[in-house]
Amino acid sequence: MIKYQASSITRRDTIKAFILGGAAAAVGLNAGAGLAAGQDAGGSIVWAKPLESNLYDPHTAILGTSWELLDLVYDGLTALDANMKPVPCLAESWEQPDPSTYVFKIRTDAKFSNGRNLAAEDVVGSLKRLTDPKTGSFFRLQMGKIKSISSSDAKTVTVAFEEPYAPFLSSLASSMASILPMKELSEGTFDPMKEMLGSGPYKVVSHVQDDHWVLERNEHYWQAGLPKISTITVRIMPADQSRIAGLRDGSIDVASFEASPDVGLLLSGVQGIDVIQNPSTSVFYLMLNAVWDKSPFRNKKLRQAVALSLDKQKMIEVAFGGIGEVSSVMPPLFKACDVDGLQFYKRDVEKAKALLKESGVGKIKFRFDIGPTTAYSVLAQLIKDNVAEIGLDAEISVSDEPSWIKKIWVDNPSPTDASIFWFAGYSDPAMVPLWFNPQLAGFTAGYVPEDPELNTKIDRARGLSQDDPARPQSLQSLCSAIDEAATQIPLVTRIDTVAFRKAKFAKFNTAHLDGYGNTLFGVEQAELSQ
Amino acid sequence: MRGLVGFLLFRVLSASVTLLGLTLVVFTAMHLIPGDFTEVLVPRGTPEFRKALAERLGLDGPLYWQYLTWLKNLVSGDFGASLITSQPVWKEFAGRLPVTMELAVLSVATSIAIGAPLGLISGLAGTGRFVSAISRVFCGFTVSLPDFFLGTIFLYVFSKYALGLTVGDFVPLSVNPEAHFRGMALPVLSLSLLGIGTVAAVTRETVFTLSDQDYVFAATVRGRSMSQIVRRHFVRNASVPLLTVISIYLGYLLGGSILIEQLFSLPGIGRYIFQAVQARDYPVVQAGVVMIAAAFVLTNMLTDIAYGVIDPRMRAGHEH
Repeated sequence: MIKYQASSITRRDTIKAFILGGAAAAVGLNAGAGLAAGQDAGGSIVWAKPLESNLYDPHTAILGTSWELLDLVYDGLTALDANMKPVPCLAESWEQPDPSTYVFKIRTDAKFSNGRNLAAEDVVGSLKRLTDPKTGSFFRLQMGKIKSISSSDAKTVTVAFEEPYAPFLSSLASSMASILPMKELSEGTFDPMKEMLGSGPYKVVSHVQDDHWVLERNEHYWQAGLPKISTITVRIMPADQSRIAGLRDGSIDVASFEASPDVGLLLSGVQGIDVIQNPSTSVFYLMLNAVWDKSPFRNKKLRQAVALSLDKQKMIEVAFGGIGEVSSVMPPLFKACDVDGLQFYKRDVEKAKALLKESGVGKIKFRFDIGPTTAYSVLAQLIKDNVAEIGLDAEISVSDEPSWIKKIWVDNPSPTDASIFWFAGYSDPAMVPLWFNPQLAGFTAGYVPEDPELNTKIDRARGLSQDDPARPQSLQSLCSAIDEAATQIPLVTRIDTVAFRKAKFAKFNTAHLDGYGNTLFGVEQAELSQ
Repeated sequence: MRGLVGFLLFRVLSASVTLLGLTLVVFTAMHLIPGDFTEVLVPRGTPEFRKALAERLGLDGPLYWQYLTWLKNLVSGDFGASLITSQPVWKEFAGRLPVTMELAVLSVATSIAIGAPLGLISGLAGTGRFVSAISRVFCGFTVSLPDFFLGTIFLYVFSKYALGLTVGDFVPLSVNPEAHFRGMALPVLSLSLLGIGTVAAVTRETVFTLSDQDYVFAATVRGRSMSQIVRRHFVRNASVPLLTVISIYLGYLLGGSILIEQLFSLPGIGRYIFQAVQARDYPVVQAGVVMIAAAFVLTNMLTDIAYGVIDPRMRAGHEH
């Protein structure tokens, strides 16, 4: 567990720090010194990733770059297997006495990394904290309409819903639904916004912001004999080339890469590595602002015309080196949406031109605000070319990340006409459609208008259990309605890349279907070569 | 003596006013750019939650009050705490400053070691010679080539063909000195190209100008060897303009290393500040910019004072 202590800082402290820093320079005990982490029998690996994990509190962490670290430290009641099916984790079993109630049996051998036994109170407290609006978790909405959370004994937790909620077990597998040590949290000895303390396979032993983390095996981990690798050093290395060079010279064992046009090509020249590009439910979206009164896209036919103009297959080829799939709001992995039944899914330039004419808007110029990511820039350029074919002119503007985030997800209405972003697709087809209900989602209210009919379809799809015969039709109907609304137009799936040095590992099976950005999936089972 | 004291006081006072103005500019700029810390941290959280977070972090008060509180703490040596890690900013900087300082010192040393001899040779060659022409082109090229551009080229080339050097693999000196310098070589080279060109140009111009001086001619007539003339006249006289250039260059390096540290994943203060800007970690950015500016102002002030002490004519402007 890392712990940060606030203290009053004097001028003397400051001067002393710099003197110590200067002395450290002389002997090389500088910021990277923590990288010389010790090794034991299990060995150690170095994982290089492009972005720092700034959000430590699992319940409010919204970014994949934090999830991939939280997944190593925290566990949830359920986990996802390689086929994205919920399996027992901290809950060793569960039953459903009725469609709206789940009864979980908590593992008796689960402990937090500080050695304290995990109890039902931790589960109840964590789920209550997650679903409490005061916590500010946006994932709260993905937990369904919970009526009560209670424990009948030390190892039994019951969750009752106001109405059936199909994705619940899948939701519990997200790092955002992690079980926290509620005793320590309530006593004030643990602050999840400043430190990490979980029951997962690893614990944090040191961290230098924007440089590296050192994780060591949690000796109290509930899976006997796991994890096998003792130490994971996580290095934050923004430049793709630096990570590739590290793989090449052996200073890095595992490197992760965000979806980009050339990462596959760059890695193809590196000898002795395995490259994993797991199928994912994450999807890039083109947002067309249907709320802002200055946006031309309040006109539905214009939005639909844009949707029909898009060449999504070309996006995969040009922006992602051929990796990915064209997607509806329900990614192909779910097999939940028959895209042949969608009106605005396939490119049809002539139909787009006709719709544009019907819209009465004419050939307009619109503002297209994107974030500073290579993938966004390439996609935006392709979209600009696509809409130009029907007579529209997209004026692309790139902002820094915070300015762009504010514009898209904080300001209401969003002061822009269009943008691009991606959403994690999670592990159930009924989960992401919730972001099309602006009142519930909140952060999409700046560009998605209220649509009571669509909201009803969203509610219905989420309320039907996986084995309900009415579910496929309900999901298809929802998929069609979102296609027709064309406010957040699904483009292609987002596939990240993980590369690792083959010689380092005797066993490391990272292959899995991905819904929650769990980059080092299965690392607790991995073994190093002798 | 009174003149010297007055001169020093004037320099210290003007440096203090510069820094005070800078704190205001940095604070205002950071708080005026779109996207505040809570919005970056939880963009999909509810407005109520962001408000509660701002209250908890002391970001909810009027901006002038936040500024005055920060300034008061800064003057008393308290740089505040990072909004992300809750760690005291001084502690974060203390661990990173050695990396940035090493980068700066090595870059300056490389610039002098390569630039000064180049300038000397070129200056001695005189105008119109091939060596001089090549030197002018080289200096112009190195001064106009941005360090991050060169760094990017290095990154691509050396990530494909290691050639004995490493990119992005920072190894502390105490862990493995050889690996440490193999990792520092490319960042240092990227940063020192500007220094090499500048030092070479200044040295060349100085030597060229001195070559026409009567005392140099006289020394030649007296039969002094070239090495004696270089030592006694050129090196000594070139030291003053070189000192000026290097002091400015050193100040530039403290701030200019931001992109190079980011590019080569070096854990210095430049990279830390860059990331803090992206995360709107106000205390880190504000303290970092003030610290870099203070180093720059201090270097300039000390250079001014050194001039004043060495050459009383430099104080004349102040005394009159």
